[in-house]
Amino acid sequence: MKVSYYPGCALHGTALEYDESTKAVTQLLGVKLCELPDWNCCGASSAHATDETLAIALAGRNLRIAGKQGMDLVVPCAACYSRLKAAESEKNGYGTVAREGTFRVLSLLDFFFISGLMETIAASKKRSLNGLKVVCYYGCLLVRPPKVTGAKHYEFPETMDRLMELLGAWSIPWSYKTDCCGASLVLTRMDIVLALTGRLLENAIKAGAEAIVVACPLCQSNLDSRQEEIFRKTGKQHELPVLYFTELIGLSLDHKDAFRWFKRHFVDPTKLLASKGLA
Amino acid sequence: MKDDRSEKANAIGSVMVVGGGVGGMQAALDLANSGFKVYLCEESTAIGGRMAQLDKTFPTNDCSMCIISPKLVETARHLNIELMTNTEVQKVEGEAGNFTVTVRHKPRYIDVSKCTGCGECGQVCPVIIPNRFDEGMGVQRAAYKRYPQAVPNAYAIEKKGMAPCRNACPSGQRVQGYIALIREGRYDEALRVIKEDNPFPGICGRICNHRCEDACNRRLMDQPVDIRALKRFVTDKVYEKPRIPVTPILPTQEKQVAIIGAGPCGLTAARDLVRLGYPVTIFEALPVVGGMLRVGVPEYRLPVEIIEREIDDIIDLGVDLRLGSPVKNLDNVFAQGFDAILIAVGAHEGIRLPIPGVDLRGVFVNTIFLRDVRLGRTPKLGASVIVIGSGDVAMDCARTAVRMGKEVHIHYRRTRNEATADPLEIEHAIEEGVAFHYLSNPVEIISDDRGHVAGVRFVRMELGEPDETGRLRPQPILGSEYLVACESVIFSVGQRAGLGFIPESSGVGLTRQRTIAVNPNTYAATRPGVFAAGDATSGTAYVIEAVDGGHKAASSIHRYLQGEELEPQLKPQLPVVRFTKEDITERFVRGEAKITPRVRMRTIAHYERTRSFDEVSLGFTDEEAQEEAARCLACGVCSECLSCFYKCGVNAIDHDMVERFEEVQVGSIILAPGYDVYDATLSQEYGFGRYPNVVNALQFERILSASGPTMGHVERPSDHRLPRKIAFLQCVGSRDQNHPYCSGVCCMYATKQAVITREHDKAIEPTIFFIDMRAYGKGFDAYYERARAEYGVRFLRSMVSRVVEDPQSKNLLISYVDETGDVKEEEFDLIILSVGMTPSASGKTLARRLGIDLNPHGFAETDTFSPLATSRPGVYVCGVFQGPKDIPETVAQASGAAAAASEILSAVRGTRVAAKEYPVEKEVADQAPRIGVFVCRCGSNIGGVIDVPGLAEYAGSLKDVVYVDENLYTCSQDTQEKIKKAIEEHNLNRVVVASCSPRTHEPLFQETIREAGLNPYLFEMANIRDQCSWVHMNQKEEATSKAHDLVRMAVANTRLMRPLSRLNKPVTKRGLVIGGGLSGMSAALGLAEQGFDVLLVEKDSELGGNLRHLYTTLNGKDVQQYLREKRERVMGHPRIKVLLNARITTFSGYVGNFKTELTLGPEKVVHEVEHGVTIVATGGEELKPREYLYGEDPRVLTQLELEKLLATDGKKTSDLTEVLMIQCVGSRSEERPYCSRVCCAEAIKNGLAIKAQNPGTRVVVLYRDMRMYGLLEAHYTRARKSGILFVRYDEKQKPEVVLHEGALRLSVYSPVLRENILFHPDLLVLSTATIPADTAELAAILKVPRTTDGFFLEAHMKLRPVDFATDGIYLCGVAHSPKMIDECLSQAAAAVSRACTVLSKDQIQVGGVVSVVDQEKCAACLSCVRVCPYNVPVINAEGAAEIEAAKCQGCGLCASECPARAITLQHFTDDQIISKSCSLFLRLAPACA
Repeated sequence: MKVSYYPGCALHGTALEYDESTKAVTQLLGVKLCELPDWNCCGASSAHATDETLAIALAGRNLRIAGKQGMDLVVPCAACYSRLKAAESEKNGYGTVAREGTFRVLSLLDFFFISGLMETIAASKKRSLNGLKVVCYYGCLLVRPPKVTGAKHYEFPETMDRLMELLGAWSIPWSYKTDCCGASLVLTRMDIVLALTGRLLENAIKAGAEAIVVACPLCQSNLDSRQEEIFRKTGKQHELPVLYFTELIGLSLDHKDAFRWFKRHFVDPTKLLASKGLA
Repeated sequence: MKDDRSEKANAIGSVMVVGGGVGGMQAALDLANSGFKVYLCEESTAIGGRMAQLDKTFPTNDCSMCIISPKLVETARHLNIELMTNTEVQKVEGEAGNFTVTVRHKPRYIDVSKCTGCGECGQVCPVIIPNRFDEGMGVQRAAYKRYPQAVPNAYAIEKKGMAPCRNACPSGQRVQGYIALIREGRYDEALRVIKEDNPFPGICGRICNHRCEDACNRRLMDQPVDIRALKRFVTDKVYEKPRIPVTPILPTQEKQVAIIGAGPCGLTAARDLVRLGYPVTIFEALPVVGGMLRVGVPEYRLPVEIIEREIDDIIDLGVDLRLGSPVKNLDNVFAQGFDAILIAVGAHEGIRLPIPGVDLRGVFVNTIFLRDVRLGRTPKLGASVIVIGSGDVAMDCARTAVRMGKEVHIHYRRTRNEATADPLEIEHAIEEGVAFHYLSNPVEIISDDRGHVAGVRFVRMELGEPDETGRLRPQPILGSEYLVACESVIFSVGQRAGLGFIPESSGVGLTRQRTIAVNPNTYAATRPGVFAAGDATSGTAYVIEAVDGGHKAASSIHRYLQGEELEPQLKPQLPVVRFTKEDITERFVRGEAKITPRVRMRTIAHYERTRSFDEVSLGFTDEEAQEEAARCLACGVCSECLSCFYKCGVNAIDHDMVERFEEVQVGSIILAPGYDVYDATLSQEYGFGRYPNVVNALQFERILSASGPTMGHVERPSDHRLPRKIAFLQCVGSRDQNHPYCSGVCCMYATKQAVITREHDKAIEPTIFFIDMRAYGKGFDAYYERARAEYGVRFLRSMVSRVVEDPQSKNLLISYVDETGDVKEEEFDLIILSVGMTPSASGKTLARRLGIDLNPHGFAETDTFSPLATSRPGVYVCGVFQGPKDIPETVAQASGAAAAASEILSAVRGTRVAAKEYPVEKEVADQAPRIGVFVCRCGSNIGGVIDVPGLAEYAGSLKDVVYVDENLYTCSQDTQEKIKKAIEEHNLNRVVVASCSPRTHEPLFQETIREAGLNPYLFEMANIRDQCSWVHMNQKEEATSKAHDLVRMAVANTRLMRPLSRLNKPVTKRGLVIGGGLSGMSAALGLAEQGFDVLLVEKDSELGGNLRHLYTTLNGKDVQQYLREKRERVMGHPRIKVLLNARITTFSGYVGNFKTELTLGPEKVVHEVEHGVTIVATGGEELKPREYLYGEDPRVLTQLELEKLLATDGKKTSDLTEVLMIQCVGSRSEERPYCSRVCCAEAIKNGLAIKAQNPGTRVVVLYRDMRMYGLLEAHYTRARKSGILFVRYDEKQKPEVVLHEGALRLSVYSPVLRENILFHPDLLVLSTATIPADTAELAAILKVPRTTDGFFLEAHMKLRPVDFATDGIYLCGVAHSPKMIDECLSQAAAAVSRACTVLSKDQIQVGGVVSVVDQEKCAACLSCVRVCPYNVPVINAEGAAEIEAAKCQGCGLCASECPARAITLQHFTDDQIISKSCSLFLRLAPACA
């Protein structure tokens, strides 16, 4: 199976382990990712807040390239995904470009579900993540707004939860699956960011989670890297590993690099995984 | 409606009512009681609709079931209502007056006419599904009764279709059935289910290729259910116990059958044929029985004891088995006298590849190798063995060789992906040390110098394009040959049948693949009388296919021998239930299924395995098996396990039922399909379906209900704890972007639920989050105020944004914005979503099939002036299908629809109804009692607890009892005949039935004894089930003793019973309508059109009432035009006589025979009229207020005055700058604590009219709650969009209006802005209260009650909205309470319908259970006069009390109050009650007798 791949800037920078684990597991599962040639910034974080035309045009150019490539476009970053979907659903501009092609814009998570990779994972699973208690955190952009993403369960998405259950982990239901982590305010209102991430971490722990599983590089870095600061400010120490779902698939498929990815995290999950007999 | 009228000669005097809820029932009853045959068509298995699910009803807090139950029974027992449950309308042809309706009766799988409702099928049904009646809380079985009081009182079986596992199984194993039974630990029954379709459960439980698992829907979620392991488990469980020998079946057929081959196919056929009564002989070439099972499958996979046990169960039925008897020639078999032959010889000849060296010593073929091992003739294998092939048989060969201590290599020309062997087999082989070599194909077997195998030359292969089987075709790689040394080679590349005994001359043709040619449907070979099945016809296949072949061949042979058509009749099949991923996701999301991988079966360690032929797989423990069985998704719902079929004592179960179509002729149709409850999972922000403690309002009704899942205890689902803080969230699925209407009932039901909750437990604190409190109905506002003030219910005007669950406590945090705009959070224990009414899916289907229009919301489109008629003439509508409404409005509309539907059929009234004829009643009053007692076992319901034979014997010993019988089901049809016969033969004159409840069954038994010529009052029931065996289930002895008491009491009572007769009184076929407004005129016209004379009296000098002051409706209709037409029709109608300026002075008589005196005009001319019914339509008027400068300043108007101004003097209103409207002037006040209902809509109507004249005029509405209920909501939205401003004010801070420098100045405090706003309107319009006409005197004359507000009070707020408690007097319109035009019209029609139930009869029956006065004893103390709730007793001219039998309701209050004991309630006389009581204490005080 071959698909177009739009990594976005985060996966080439702060979220290298998301990129690597995505490539590693898709390869094991027999999927070839064809990175869009000459892709550009999706416009998230700044363009869409300043210039609507620019925001659509930036994402639209990528759609045009994907249209030429003629395969479904898979997007791992939730922010990129949101921008590309927004451009796709834009009535007059670049959306028509996307609709001309025969490809779909899919988040990486949805791609796993739509393409039958769940069955492949079930068949090629090497070890069960039995005993690992996680909460799945989708963030605000992966499923919303439903008019743009087409998500049916936009308040309570469940794909990642089912994936975790399939891997053998215990996915705990919680109410904060799609709350905002505040990533877009990182540069301007850190106080809000800390309050939002703090609430997420606190409720994850209250729900009994030992780790948070995410599908967005911004959520990951925000939740992973703020824990120390929150501790300094509030005295609440969390130490909650924040993992990409692809990393856990890799772990379950026994990918040789799995523990190299984990090394890049602020909160090291190795101890937790070791306690579950998974290290 | 005039247009609908069909006076054609071919009009049909019957009506179809679609929907069996309270509306449908009411319409059906009214019609049936006024001379029409009714077909009541209901989709579900029982009538009762939503109302049956409710706990209490507002505003009277009546128990919903208690009040609907009599209606259920009346509907079910009505001679002229034909109940069609499980039925839907398919097609309607024809036109008003003469329709042909095609209905589809869906299979119920239980015969309603036989079912007694005993419930034993439900008790044995192993299939658990969420309880439908309890809205998914708790569980029910697939065999179920919708609710305990359900009508018809019969069970039904829910089938969704065929489970995919069963569909995939060649022999149709009812997998879901035995899995459900395993889950319940009912192993013997599970095995029974398997064996009915497959005689080899133990064998298939081990070696089946389980296509069922491949088809299992569960694979979409995690893994398929381990069906094979469960099958094995259950055989292991049962086979642990000593074998119970089977009973041989003696042949009943002449013709004999020979079967060649004792494999699974031949044995299956033998079993079937022996059971059919044929003598069967099996010829088997081998010295052992079992075919490939015995000589093909290694012992470690299939132990020989299992094979023998299952085969013995067949042979011992009486099969003549001849081992070691190969058949050489078919003719010889026929010559021996056999009439049919089945060839089932299997495929025992192994195949060698056509390569050099295959005949060397040390080369084996799979079948012979395995057979020799199995028969103990151990073949000589060398130390290293090569197995060629990768099917299951190859694995068998390899693993057998491993157990013989050899080194084994498997070579296969493709890859593991293409290998046909069960993956588990390959896995086990690898574990046991077998080496696999893929893409390796032999080209030559190399010989050593002694002619023995020395090695194999292989060539490497690669995969090319797919071949015809879809697998990739292997191709040799040139020059890649290589040699592998070995000492033995086993070929396992296929098998075929040995067919040497059927040469061409035998007349049995073969195929090119060297299998026997057969017709695939009949298994008949080319020679008549010869059949063939199994591997010999299909090539190598699996056991289960052989079983299937055996079954089909056997039934074919049966048909052949019976001389029937050979091709089998195809039975209609249920659709296969295949889930989609979305279905699975929904289940996952709803928490109904959780990812739980299959339970892995334990095996013996591989190092132990290779040493012996012991079985590798160890099977499940009980716990493991039940855990695995619980993974089953029960796809088909009913699994056809047949447990119910075997249990049912009256043969009511029929799993082969199919749908049936029927054509019904009717004159008109009423649609009452009701509504769907809004699916709150769509409002995801509230977490419904995910958070256990968020329930919808209907679920909460079930929680509150004593018959619900918590037995009426208020507890929250997550931990069954009493919730302390409860939140009700209003407008869920109403008044939102997708539902631009108000559901009309939620404010009140939430308030009611909050009140009832407080009554359950004072510790509970309910809060209602709402937008507007829409308590607009009669008595609603008072109820709301009481909830707030007396019950402490907290009402919070707010908007809720989301609900978050605390993961530990499962409490819920509500985020909301309060009225002032502040964002707040508050924690609750339980949340109830006040879900709205959604147009029902079945209503939409009906609309499509009938071709009627729906409005944009999806409700039936109707017109303001004809609210009961759909767009198709002759088709009428009522209930929520027409728009959201509550129960009384539904009931009134249903009666109204009945009137509309019968109006066009009045000419053919009485033409389709049946009347029952009874034999002449026997004169028994003076005979000595001869009592017959019939004791019921009710299956095991009574019989399982109470010693019924002992009870019957005891009953026989009682005085005057001359006959006793006991029955399995006393209510079954055949027992009724038995009872009648017993009455006849034993000359019985009293009957006692000791069974269940008189509530449901007394009328049935009374009917039975009437048919035997006994007066129905000579009957008594002893309730030994509901009040004895059910409640004392665990105290059998005490229960039996209590049953003795109950029967003794019944007998004692019966002894004193007297026959009661009912008298016939003629009916005066004329109606009196009081009030000539909209409602009165409509009622008069309705009665006249129904064919009855009417006298319409009006106190004013002209007709029209309030309609005279209205000009348009909200949707722009011309009211004055309508009024003119209406007036003309009334005045011109030949059957209507109008009396103006009339006053009623006296009123007397009773239903059917009233006499009224009235005076006309100022001259007071006396006029007298006799009539059979009375309709009160006295109306009301707009209040002229005494506040806000009304009457002091010309710029202050009422809404009606404004309406007139707008309609008649547009100039004055088109240049206004600002118009202020104040709502609730004189309503919802201390003086008038009711809502006037119409003023919000009136204000908006006038506001919109102002805006239409001049959009620049500012219109401001000062309101308390905008009560734009139901579909009015859309006009409220329209008003806001037009720019009308709505400003809320608080009742405690009413607006203040003053004159300031000649201008009007209004100041009002806004709780939203938290400050005062000042206005200077050009016009101030007051929405004043609607007040009832002054009817104090009239009420006294008619002796009918009024509310404290001065409106007339109906007999029952819910179910008798247009009846007075006094029979024959009805009410409608504003006389009942304020209402809109369409509501008045519905109610007027309802009153007509109710009146027709009287006027359509020639005579009415009076008497029976009524009070009678012994005038000698009467002291005229007036006690009875005061106590009677119906105002019946009067003191007559002789100075004694008199009770008119026609009016008496038989409640008995007067009898119990009368100090002189002058009054007796017949059938409940003092001596009866005393005798009964004495009898109860007989055990303690024998002297009493």
